[in-house]
This record gives sequence, C-alpha cells and structure tokens, in this order.
Amino acid sequence: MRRLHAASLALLLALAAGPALAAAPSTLADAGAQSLADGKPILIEIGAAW
Amino acid sequence: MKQSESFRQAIAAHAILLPIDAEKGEGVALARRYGVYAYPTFVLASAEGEVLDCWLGFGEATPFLETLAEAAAAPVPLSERRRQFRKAPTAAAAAKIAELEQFGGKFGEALAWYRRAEELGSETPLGPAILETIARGQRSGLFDETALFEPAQRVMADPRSDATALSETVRLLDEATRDSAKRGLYLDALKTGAARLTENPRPANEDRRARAALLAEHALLVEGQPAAALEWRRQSLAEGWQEDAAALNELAWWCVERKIALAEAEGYARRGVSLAASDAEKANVLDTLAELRAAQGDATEALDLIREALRLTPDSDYLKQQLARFEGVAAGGSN
Repeated sequence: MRRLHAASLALLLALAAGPALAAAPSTLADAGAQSLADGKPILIEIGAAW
Repeated sequence: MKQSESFRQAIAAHAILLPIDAEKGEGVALARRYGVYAYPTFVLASAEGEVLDCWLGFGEATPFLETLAEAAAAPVPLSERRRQFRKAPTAAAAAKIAELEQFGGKFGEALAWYRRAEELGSETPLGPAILETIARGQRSGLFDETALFEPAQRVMADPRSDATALSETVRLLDEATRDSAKRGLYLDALKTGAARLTENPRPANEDRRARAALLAEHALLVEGQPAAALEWRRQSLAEGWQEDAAALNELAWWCVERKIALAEAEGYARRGVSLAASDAEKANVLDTLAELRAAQGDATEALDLIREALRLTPDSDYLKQQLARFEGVAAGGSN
C-alpha cells in the first residue's frame, strides 16, 4: 500500500519512545491548559499509528 | 534514544507537543476539524485551538525545527491575519491566508485569497498552490476535474515553474484524468514537462528527484520504455533507499500499480519487509507484497501475506477490506 510521508511514523515512534512524553498532554483540552500555563502554542501532530 | 530525546526537547522549547492518532478517539474529530488530508499534518494552534500555522510532512529534523521556530516566533491566528490584511493588504499576507484556508479545507476561500495575492502582484509564483487547492477541492467534491486543466496548463507554460512544480502538476493531472476522456491532457503535460526538464543547461539547484519522477512516467507512457522508466524511478528516491523500508515499499508499489518489473519489485518488497522497523510498517509492505504476488498469479501466498499483515495490525479497516478482496481472488473471483 502506498503511504505518503512515511517518515512521519518514525517521528511519531521516536517521540513516543521519549520517557518524558508520559507527562505530555493527550487531549487538546489538556494541551490548551498547558499552553496557557507555559505561554507556548500547541503543536498538534496528526498522524496514524498503524 | 538520545537523539529522539534531544529532538523532543527542541520541539518543547517552542511548543506543547500533542501527538494525535487521526483514526482513534479525539483524533477523528480533530482530523476533521483541521481538514487533515495527509499524514502527518502539523497544526500549530493557540491554547483555544485556533490555527496559527500548519504544514505537511516530516523530512529532516533541522528544517522541521526551523519551520516550527519560525511559526512559533510570530503566532498570529487566522482571524487576526484577516484583520491585519484589511488594514495593510499585501500579496504575501493574502497568500499566507490562502495557504491556511486551504489547509483548513476552505478551498473556495483559499482560491479567492490566492487570486487576491496575484492581483496584488505576488512575486512568488502561486500557480502550484492554486493547483493544489483545486485538486483538494476536487477530491472533496467542490470542483469537477475540468477546473484543474486551465491552471495546470498555466503552470506548465510558466517559465518560472521548476522541476518540483512541473512534476507535481503532472502528478495531479495524472490523478485527475485517470479513466477519463481527457487523458490526453496528462500525456501532453508529460511531454511538455519532459521537454522542459531535458533542456540544457540544467539549473544548478534543480530538484533532481522531482525531475526523475516526471521522466520516469514519460519513459513509460510516452516512450514505452519500462526499463528506462524504472531506472528514472529509482533515481527519484532519496539516497540510501536500498536500506529504507518505506522507500523500497514506494518503489515496489509504483511497479505494481503500473504492472511492470514485478519480479524485481517483489525483491524490493521482500527487502522492505525484512527492514521494517515496526509492525505497522511491516504490515504496510506486506500489503504491497501481497498485491505483487496476486499480480504474479499466486493468490494463495497473497492471502497468507494479507493475513500476516492483519495479524500485525488487527485494527486496520483497510487490511480487512484487502483480506475480503484476496479471499475472493483465491476463491477464483476477479482481482
């Protein structure tokens, strides 16, 4: 099957493997709260994990 | 692991990272909300979720971080960009609004903003972006295929169009004219593009991969030379493709779609399977290998391969459909 931008998965996996990711937000609402607290925008990476 | 951790920290310096699976949970609604049409899509959003910027794909870490840093340094919501434009209209501002509208799936609005940018004398050629907008609008049912033709011909005739623009335009015309009476437009564009890309001298900073991708299709469809086409297609891949499962899969899939060099493609796919770094990637290449084996007449192995792919990624709806299809082929149905 053709998958465009196949490198995305590598990014997703590499990031998921980072130990600090456990503390990362998992919903847009959580990310929004953290964004307000830290004064930084949210970077949403939308991919597919299959 | 250290590298991924430092990369993660570099991202965290600019933004709160939220990785979302577009096919599960909240991700389904978010993908719809942000008009996602390819993976990965990166959306830089405000705390309220309003789009600040967005872009497609991940290639290398350094340019990715540069893009992120630039976008995060001046986080202007789309609504504010529109307000600023009303006060001080510029071609660059109109083109940026158009780009964001396009990402958000508002293709009619995006086209109007691109036209505005052209009226304001944009120095950047906007033909490729206009074409991409129309192509996406066409896929969503907003435009019919004919809407693509005139802008495509403009890009092909524009002396500023580089190999990337020519190759992408030809690819979009290919998609738009498959099984269509207008297929000749695609073949004409292939010929025009190949003529442009074989002129001498070659530009020093030419995108050689884009050039090779176009010349591969030209060699196959215009010159009728599948061996030369395959050689060009190999040249269109990134350096090191022989050791990259995704690139091997891409090449094998290209062959199976065009029904050429199937035995060679099988070798690429089998190597891709052996190199795949995750179950998901392996399942993806196994699907390509299954298509290849079916095309070579071995429906039984094709079915086994799809079953193995589905065992690795049991939630994949696509592979479930493939399983049903290959069961039909193995039972003596048509492909």
